[in-house]
Amino acid sequence: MYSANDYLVRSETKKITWVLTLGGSAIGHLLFFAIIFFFPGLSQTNKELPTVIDIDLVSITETEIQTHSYDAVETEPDMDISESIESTDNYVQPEPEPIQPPKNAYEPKKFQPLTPIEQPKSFKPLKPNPDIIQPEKTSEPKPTKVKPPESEPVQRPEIKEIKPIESPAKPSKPKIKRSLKKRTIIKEYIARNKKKRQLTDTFRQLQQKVRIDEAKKRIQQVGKTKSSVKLMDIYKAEVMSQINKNWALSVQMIGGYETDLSAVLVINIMRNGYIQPDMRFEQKSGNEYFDEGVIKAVKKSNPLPRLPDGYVRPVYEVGLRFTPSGLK
Amino acid sequence: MRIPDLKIKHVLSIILSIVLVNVCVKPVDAQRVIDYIDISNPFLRKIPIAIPVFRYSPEKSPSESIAKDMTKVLSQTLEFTGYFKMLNQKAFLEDLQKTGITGSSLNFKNWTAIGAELLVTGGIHTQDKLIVVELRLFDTFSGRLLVGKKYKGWHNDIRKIVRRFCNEVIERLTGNKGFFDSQIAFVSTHTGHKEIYTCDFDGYNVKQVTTNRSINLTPSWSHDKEWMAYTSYAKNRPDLYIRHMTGKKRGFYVSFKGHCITPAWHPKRMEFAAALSRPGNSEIYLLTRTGKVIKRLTYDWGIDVSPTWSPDGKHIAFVSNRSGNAHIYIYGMDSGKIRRLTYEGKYNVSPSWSPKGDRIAFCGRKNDRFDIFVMNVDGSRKMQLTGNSANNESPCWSPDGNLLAFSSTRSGKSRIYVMTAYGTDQRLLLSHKGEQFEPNWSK
Repeated sequence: MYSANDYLVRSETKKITWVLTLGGSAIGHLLFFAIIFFFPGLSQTNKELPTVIDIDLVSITETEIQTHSYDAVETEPDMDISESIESTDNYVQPEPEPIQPPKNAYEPKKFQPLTPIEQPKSFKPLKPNPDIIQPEKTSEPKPTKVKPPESEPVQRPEIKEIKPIESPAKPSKPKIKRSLKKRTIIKEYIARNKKKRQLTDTFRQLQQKVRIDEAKKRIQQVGKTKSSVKLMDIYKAEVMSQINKNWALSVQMIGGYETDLSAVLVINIMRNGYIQPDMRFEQKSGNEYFDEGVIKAVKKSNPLPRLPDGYVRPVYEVGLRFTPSGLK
Repeated sequence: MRIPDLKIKHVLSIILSIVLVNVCVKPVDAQRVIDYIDISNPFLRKIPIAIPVFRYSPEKSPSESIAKDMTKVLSQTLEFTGYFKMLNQKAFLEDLQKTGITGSSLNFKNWTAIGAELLVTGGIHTQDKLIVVELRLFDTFSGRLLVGKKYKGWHNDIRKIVRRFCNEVIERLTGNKGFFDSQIAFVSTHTGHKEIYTCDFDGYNVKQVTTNRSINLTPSWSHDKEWMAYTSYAKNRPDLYIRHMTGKKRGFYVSFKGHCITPAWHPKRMEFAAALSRPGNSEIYLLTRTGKVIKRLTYDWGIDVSPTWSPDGKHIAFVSNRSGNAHIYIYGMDSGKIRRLTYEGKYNVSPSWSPKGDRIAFCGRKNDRFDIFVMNVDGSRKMQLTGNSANNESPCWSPDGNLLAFSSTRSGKSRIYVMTAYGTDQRLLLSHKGEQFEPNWSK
């Protein structure tokens, strides 16, 4: 029998094969790491499926839900009757969750308009130019889509993400008018509205361009890593305080102050601060109440502050480590 | 010979490279660095709950006032537990009178928007002098119905209905039974004499139990709430009296040479432990319901008093001065062995074993004042719960082990107070003429 050493020392051909295999594997490695580096999204697919949490879309699909809910509500009277039976067992069956259109008083809170409406007037020269407006209009039915595709270039998702914010405000106004059946007014109103919207859209696009240009300049000047790290530290502190503020945790429910419960929830924050609905637990605490409370705290905190402009990626993935250590 | 060897080598190298790739890739995958944010300081230490005014169906004045009363009682009852933070009704965006009370007619987003995690809706309508009440508890985030109940009763049954519903709520949320049917016995000088009184868990419905114009002390409820044992000087010496609470059965009188004091009922059986000074100094005895001695438990030259049972009935904690100072010890019913729990301080008395079994509350003297402490049953993790410039004494647990009742002189006179098991939410239980001491919470 030969030992491994014999192979290496004795024959020339064997050396060559060794070099070949090692070289081959080195190239393979390089290729692999290159792929991992340039397409970070790919590695996600390899991951084991995390425990998935069903979370209804907090902000963006609102319009979608609304359209469905009208049908659902009409079937309700039957449910009411069955509910009023005395035995508790009947209550156990989960009720459907129709979501009525939120009242106007509540809406503006969620969808803060990014730009004031009066300002666009100064951009008159842009008005007759249909090139910029047209693509916006055609793509408007889209906002029901949840995620902006990750692989898109940096500038595009910015424009796409902001569209859904505007959309909920739009259907409410014409509806009220239609019930009054004053066509002429509606037409005028819509036309005026259109103009306004076109103006705000173009204005917003301009603003974004300026913002991105500024960010790019800054990155070039200061050096990418340094500035973004500092920016993100400030941002992280903002997120921390906002979620802390919204977190309610009953001391009695978790069995007192001296617990070592801890849960890690991973969320994706979009540029405009909204949290994507696909949160996942990297680590659960094992206490059902605690884990639910963590999700509620995050939902209440949506939307978080906007991502800093210096942050170049479309989505910021961050793990939230919840511990009740601050209770003491 | 050589050719197959070469092949083997090739195969080996390929396998090796595959293994290498795998080994290298795994950590890369795991290293996908994401930022972490530590969130450790919940702003609110309770569950935010919204209880809007109940819906009343015939829009007449009587059911409206009932609805308002009932909403108030429900809020107060749930708040008493210390679990909940009641949200201000002025902040509510919805009115049940307009929306409805079932899950389908509620818009939960309007409730999550004001921070509510739970929502109670109620509907009342009258039905020939009876009121019919529907009560529901919702999780506002999922829209899930957690508890749904319908009650029928007389107009003055409001409190009863509310308590029954609260029991359901607490059981659904914590898995433990609520204590809304429990009562608290205490000693009060309302009439100028130390007499025993009872009240509901929230201080309502005060009733006088003893009327002998003597000194009555240390009431103790039996596990079925039917019997109460207490010490009384009715015959000018400290003897034990065992009374049937509804008065349907004859009571018992227990008297031995010396004193018979500090009774404590067994948590499951109709027996009680008490301190008798029959042998010369005070020792712990186990007695039957009628006052016959089953067994003497302690044999020591020191004074042994104030027994309290572990919830499984296998241990008794008591106070003894066998070391020179008053300290708390544990006696094992099976082993007969005695273990000392407290070493700090010179005066640790009135132990009370938590119904959960893991903690013992007691009164200790520190800086010439009495304060309430809790510790584990092995004496570890001692925690001081009260700390003001007054005396806080005789702690006793609520049946679910979440609250403690105790007497305190913080407002001058001694009164009964309630707090959570962690010392938070300390508040007065009831304002009653005279002074109140020695609370004892029924099961």
